[in-house]
Amino acid sequence: MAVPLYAVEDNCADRRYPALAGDWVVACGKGGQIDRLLHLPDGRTIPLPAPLDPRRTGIAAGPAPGSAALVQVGGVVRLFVVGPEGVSEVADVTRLPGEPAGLPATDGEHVAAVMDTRVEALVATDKVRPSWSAAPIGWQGVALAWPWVAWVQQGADGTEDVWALEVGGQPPAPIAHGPGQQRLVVADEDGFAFVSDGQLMRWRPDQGVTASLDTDTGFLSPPSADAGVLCWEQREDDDIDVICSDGLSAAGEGDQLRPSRSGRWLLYRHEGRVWLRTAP
Amino acid sequence: MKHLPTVALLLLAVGLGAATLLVDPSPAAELSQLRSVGWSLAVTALAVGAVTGAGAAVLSRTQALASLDEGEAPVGWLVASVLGLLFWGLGSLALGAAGLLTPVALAIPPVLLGLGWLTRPGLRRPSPTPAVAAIAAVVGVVGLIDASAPPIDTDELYQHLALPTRMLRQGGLVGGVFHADGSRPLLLQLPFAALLSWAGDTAPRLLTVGSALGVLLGVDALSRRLAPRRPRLAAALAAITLATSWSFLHDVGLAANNLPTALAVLAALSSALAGAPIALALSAGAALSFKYTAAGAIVGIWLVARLPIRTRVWAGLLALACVTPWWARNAIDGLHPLFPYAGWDQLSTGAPPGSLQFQYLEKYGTGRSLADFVWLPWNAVMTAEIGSFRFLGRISPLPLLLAIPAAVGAWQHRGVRAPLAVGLVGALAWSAGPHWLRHMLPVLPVLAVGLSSGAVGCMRPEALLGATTLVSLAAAPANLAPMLTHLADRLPAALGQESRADYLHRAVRSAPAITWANEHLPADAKVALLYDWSTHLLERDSVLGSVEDHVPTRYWLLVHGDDSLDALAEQGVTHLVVGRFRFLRKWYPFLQDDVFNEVFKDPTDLLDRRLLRDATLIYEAGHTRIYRLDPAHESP
Repeated sequence: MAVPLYAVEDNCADRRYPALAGDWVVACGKGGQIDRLLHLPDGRTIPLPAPLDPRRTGIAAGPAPGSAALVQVGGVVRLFVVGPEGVSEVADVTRLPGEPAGLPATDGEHVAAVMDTRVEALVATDKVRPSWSAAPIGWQGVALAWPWVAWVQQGADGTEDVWALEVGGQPPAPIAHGPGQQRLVVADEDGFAFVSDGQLMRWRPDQGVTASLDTDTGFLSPPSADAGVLCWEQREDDDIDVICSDGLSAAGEGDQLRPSRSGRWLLYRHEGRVWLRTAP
Repeated sequence: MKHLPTVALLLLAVGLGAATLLVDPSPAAELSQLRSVGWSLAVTALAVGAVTGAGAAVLSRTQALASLDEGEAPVGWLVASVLGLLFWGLGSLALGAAGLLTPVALAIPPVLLGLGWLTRPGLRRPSPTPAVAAIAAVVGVVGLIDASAPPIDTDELYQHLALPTRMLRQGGLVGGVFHADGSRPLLLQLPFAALLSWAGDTAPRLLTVGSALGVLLGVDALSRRLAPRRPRLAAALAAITLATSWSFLHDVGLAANNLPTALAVLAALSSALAGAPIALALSAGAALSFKYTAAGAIVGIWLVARLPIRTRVWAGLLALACVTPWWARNAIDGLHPLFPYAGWDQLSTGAPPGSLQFQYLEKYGTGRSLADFVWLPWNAVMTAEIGSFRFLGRISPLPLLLAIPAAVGAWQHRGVRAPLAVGLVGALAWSAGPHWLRHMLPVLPVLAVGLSSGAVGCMRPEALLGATTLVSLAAAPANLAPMLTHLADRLPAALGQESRADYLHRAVRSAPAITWANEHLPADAKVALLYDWSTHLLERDSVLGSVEDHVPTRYWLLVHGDDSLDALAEQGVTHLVVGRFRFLRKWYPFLQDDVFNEVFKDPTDLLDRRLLRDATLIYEAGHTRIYRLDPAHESP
C-alpha cells in the first residue's frame, strides 16, 4: 500500500533528496537544506543540530541496524550518525579541502568524495588522507562499499565510464567502459550497481559483473540499492513506474519517479508529492 | 621648458599612482583586472574615435558641420559619432553577410572609417558646462563599475552580448527560429561583436557608457542652444533629470541599446534644428536601427525639422533606407520583415496552433483602459516598480514638476516648442507600446531638454533650483538607493577582489550549470537553451534561448509537440540546458483560461514530460538542468 508522506516535502535544493537511510527519511526545511529526519517506525521527526547542504551531502544506512549516516563534505567534514536515541556527530573527522564535484558517500565510519581532479576515501577519523588522481564527471555521486569506491568519469571516446579503486589495494581503473554510457553508480553491501545504456548492471569486487537486468532507466535519477535489492525507474511507452528487483513496485496513473529503497520501505515521487510504499 | 613643471607633475602622478597600486599590502584591486579594464577602455575609445572620423567627414562634405558646430555649444561631435556607429554597423553587416565575422576582418570597418580624419573635417570637441561635466563624471564612474563587473543583466545575457557571442562562434550573421533575436536589426550588436572579440565583454558595455556620457553632454549642448535664458541652468536641470533616474543609471553600464538610441535621437534633433537633412536622415536611420522604440521621437523630429516639406520627405525616405537592409535580410531569409516581433505564424518550420503572440502589452504597467491612460504620467513616474512588471523601472519625478512651467515657457518662447513637441510625440508613442520605462529612455533626454529649457524661460532660478532639489531628494531613495546597493554588490567583482566565476555563481541562477557545461560538454556539442537566458555565458554552439515570454522555446514546443526533442536532435542539437520555469497565472489576468493553458501551461508541461522520456539528465543545479539527447529512443 502506498501513502503520501505529508510530513516530508519535495523541496530540497538537490532533488535527489528527500531519500531513505536506514529507518529514516532525510528531508529538508523551507530553505531547501537538509535539517530534519523522519523516523518511519514511529513517525517521529527530529531536527539536525545544523542544516546540511544537500548538494554536498551523502547519506546511507548507518553501522547499527536501522540507523542512518549523513556526511557533508567541503572543507570541514561533518559526519552524523542517527539512531533511535537521536543524532550524534562524529568528532575529529579529517578535513577534505575543496568542494565535492558530486554527492559524497559514507557508511558512518568511512567517507568518500570526488573532487574536481581527485578521489578521496578514508576512515573518517584517520589523519592519513590518501587521494587518487581522477577526472570525475561531476554531479553524479561517488559510491562506497568499503574498501571499494566507485565513480563516473569521462572516457577517451567522450562517453561516461564507471571507475573504481580499492583503498589500500587496487589502483583506480575502469570497471565498465565504452562504447555506450555507463553511469549513475550506487552501492550496497553486495557491491556496486550502475546503469549501462539500457541495462542495470551488478558488479562485485571479487567477481566483476555478476548480473544484468534489461531495463529502460537511468535518465533521471540513479537506481537505488539496498541489501541486494535494486529499484529503478522503468519507462513504459508514455508512463514511468518504479520497479524493484524483489517485486515491489510503484505503478499506476502518472509518473512514479526517484526511487529510494531501504529495507521494506520504498520512497518515491508522484505528482509533486513524496510517497511511501511498504513491502508486504 | 615652460611645460617642464606640468610634465614633471604628471610623471610624478603616474609613478605615485602605480606605486599606490603595487605597494598596497592588502590590495583593494587586482592588477590583472585593472589591466583588462584599461585595455577594454582603450580599444573602445580608439574604435569609437576612429569611426567618428567618417561621420565628421560626411558632415563636413555635406556642409552640415558649420551649423552644427556654431556657437559655444557645438553638437557636430554628437552627430558625427552617431553617423560613425551607423557606418560601422552597416559595414559589419556586409562582413557578416559574407561570413567574415572574425576579429581581424571586423577591424576593417573602423580602420577604413578612421580614414575620415584624413579629410581634416575640423570637428569641435564638446564643451560642457562645469555642472554637467561633474554629473557626467559621476555617471561615468557608475558605468565603469558596472561595465567592469561580469554581465548579469537578463537582456545582456540572452541578447545584446549573446548575439555577438553566437555570431563570433559561427563567423556570420545569425537569425531565424533558432536565433530569433538575431533577426532584429543588429546595427549595435555587430560593433559589439567587434569589441567583444578584441577586448572581452567589458568593451561593449563601455560603448554604452560612452553613449550615456554623450547623451549627457548632448543634453547640455542642446539645452544651451535652445534655452531662451539661463542656458547653463537649463542644461543642469536636464542632466539632473536623467542622472537621478534609476532607469537611466541602470542602463549606463549595460550592453544595451536604449542609450545609443537616445544618443541617435539627440543627433537627429540636433540635425533637424540645424537644417541638415542628410545628417537628420542618417541619424534617424541609426536610431531606428538601434531600436524601433525610437520611432515616436523620430516622427516628432521629422515634424519639427527646420526643412522644406519636400526635403523632409526625402530625408524620411533616406532614414527608412538605412533600416531597409535589415528588413531585406529577413525577407531573403523567408521571414517577416519585422520578425521576431511578428511573423511567428509564417515560419517555414510551421505555424503554431492557437495564437502565439510575441508580447502581451497588457502584462506591463497599470492597465490600458481610458482611465489608465489618463493617469499614466502619474502612475509611470510615481507608482513604478523596479522589480515588477509595473513599468519595470523608475524615473525622476522632475518631468512632472517641470511640465506646467515648461508649458508656460513654451507659450512665451517659440524656441523650446520643438523639443517639447518631440518629447510629447515620443511619450505618446511610448504609451502605445509596453509600458517599460527603459523604452522611454530614447526620448527622455529630448523631453528633459524641452522641459528644462521651457521652465527656465518663465521661472526664477532660485525657485527652480529649490523645487528641483526638494523633489530630487525625495526621489533619491526610490531611484538612487537601489543603484547604490547594486554598485556596492558589483564593486568587488569590478575590482577583481571577487572572481568572475564566484560572482556569476551568486548572481546568475543558471551560472553553476553553465560552468559545468563549459567544463564537461564535448567541444562540438550543440546546445538548445529552453526556458533559459544565459546564452552569452555558454562556451558552446547554442540555439533557441529566450526572448520576452520564452517565445522561441514555446514556439518549438507548440509546433513539434511530442516530437519536440526528436526535432531538436534532427537539427544537430546534442544537449539541452533547461530552466525550471513556471508561468504564473496572475501575470496574465487578461487571458482566458483556455488561451493561457494552450500557449503557456501546456507547452511547459509537455516539455517536462518529454524530458522524462526522451532525454538523459546529466547535471542539475538549483533551477537549471542539463540533459543529453541520445540517439532517437535509445536508452541512455
